[in-house]
Amino acid sequence: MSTPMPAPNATSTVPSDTPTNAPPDAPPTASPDATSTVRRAALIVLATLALNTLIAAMLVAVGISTAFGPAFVQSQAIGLPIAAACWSVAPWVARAEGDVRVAVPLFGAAIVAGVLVGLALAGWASGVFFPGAPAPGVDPGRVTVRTAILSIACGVLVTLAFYGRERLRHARLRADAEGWRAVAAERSAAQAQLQALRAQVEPHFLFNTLAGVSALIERDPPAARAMLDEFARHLRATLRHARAETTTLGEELDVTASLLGVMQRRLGERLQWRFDVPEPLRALRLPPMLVQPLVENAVKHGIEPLAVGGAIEVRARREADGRLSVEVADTGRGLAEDTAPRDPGGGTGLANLAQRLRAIYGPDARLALRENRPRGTVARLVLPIPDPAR
Amino acid sequence: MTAPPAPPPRAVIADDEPLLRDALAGALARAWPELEIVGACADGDSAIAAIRRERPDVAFLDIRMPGRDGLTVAAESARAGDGAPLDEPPLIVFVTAYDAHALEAFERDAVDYLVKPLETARLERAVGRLRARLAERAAARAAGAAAPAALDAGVLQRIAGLLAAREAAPAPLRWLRASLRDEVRLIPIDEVVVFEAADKYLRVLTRDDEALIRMPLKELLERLPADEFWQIHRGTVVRAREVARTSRGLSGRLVVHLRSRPERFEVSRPFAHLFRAD
Repeated sequence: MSTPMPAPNATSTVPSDTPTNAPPDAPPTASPDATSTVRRAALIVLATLALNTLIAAMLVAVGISTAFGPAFVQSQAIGLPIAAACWSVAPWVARAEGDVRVAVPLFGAAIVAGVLVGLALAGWASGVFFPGAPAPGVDPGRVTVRTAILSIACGVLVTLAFYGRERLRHARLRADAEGWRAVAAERSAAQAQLQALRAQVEPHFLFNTLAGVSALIERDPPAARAMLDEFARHLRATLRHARAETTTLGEELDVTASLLGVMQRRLGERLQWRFDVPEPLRALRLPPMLVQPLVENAVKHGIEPLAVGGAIEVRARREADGRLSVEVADTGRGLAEDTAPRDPGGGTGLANLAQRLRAIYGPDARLALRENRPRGTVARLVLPIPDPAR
Repeated sequence: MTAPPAPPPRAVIADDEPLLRDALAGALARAWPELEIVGACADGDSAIAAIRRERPDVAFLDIRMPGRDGLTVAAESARAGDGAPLDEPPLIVFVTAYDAHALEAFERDAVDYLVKPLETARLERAVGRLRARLAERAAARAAGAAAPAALDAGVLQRIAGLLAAREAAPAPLRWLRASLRDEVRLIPIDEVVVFEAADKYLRVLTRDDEALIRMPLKELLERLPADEFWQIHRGTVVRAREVARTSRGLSGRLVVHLRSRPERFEVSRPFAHLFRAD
């Protein structure tokens, strides 16, 4: 008397081509091409056949089935449809990123449908291969119910096993990606600090400033002294500043002013500058070195390359949406698309700044550049810094 | 028989920072009192004009200047406005705060360079050499021989090399100029995720924005860093790091999915090798 054998099925549920969440620096995942897709499908079919066989063997071993042959046929007949049904709903589960609320009803329905088809198939296959079974004296109705229950149980177990494994794999991948992102943010903050320091001791800036002080020493000692003071204040502030977590807009502007003071003495009439910042905004806290790099950039790429020079204006405003905007406008050369700075290190400053903003604020902060009229560049920084008074 | 008194030597100086220009003039007045400064220029273009106009014996040139820089001025100083080589071009001295490449190039040459801030002793040594070379020139002139060239062929070649290297490397593209509503926006290349050709425009997609620029894809490709962007289709270029995965579309074509944009882009056959698993 062969008890019909249920069978399970199962497929690797959540298909593995769900988003891989590879860390941003990792090479893009090469995706399976046609041959590997075929190979994968073949593997899945083989695995299902093997699993069904295993279940048949177990049923015989525990005495539910008496003979392996009929158990094997029924196991396959029921297991394959369940596998096919689960496999065909798997993409939806994957699309929902394995969400349980989607997975349970979908896989549940798939298993039930698979079992129904499987039972019909099993009945037919048993008739074809083992015309003698089921053994006389057994109530066909009871056998079918028991088979159905066993099939569903096996189907659920196997599906759960695959589903759980995939969830685990994805959770691990996601954790990896998140950890990686945190490291990347840290690294970009450290890079920004380094960059800021390096920008200050950029040899041209350093030696030209020293040459300027040296030039003034004889001709105008008080002016030389004032320039040296400004330079020292700027260096000190930059060093301290680059290490601090946050500063106030006012302090940032003071450091920026010392830079502009030094540049003013060097460039003379070629550089004019002014700050237009409402007093209350100066107390706002923000990460250091967000404004000064923009001003540095304006001097280096806007004003210095022009024989006639130009003006720089720094404006801060509270926007209607509550965010803080800071604009650095210059009337210099302008960043035409094809003007590459002469030195290879140049121009990356703004990209670093944008990267830093993303690391600190995510998508709420913005750095945009536009052309100034009639000439020059406006760099606009928008930061999600709330008004503490409100 | 006494030679007629030689006319005083004449010099053009060029530096875009007024303080440093004055400092150089002052230092020269002490180190070389008879030198007459006939032009003090703030940029490369006016330096070239002054050199052609004044035909000085010596030119002291800052390397980094607005307009044409010191290297270009040096190369131009060897010929007249019409391009004909000059008999006695000025002797060149570069004066620079820090130009590692240029200085390396001249380290082993007769060309003088001075670093800022100027050191008196170095300036005096340079003046001594310049005087000696001017004297050689005067002697050659008196003997009716051809004057020794101011810049020997090797140095001129080296300057030309430095300039050519700078011009030839197609400027790496850092910014795209895109019209957006009523303003011209500058988009850093680093933020671009996808370029897609659309008629004579290029659609530029960034993480959260898009814009149109007028540039043929072919020109763009020449100036994009090849290791950062991949062309995946005749009209599509994607940032390699933005590729999240690929899948097979209904047509059997590979389709690229991006990390930060929902759009998908088809990979055409000639570019499919980029994604092959091996």
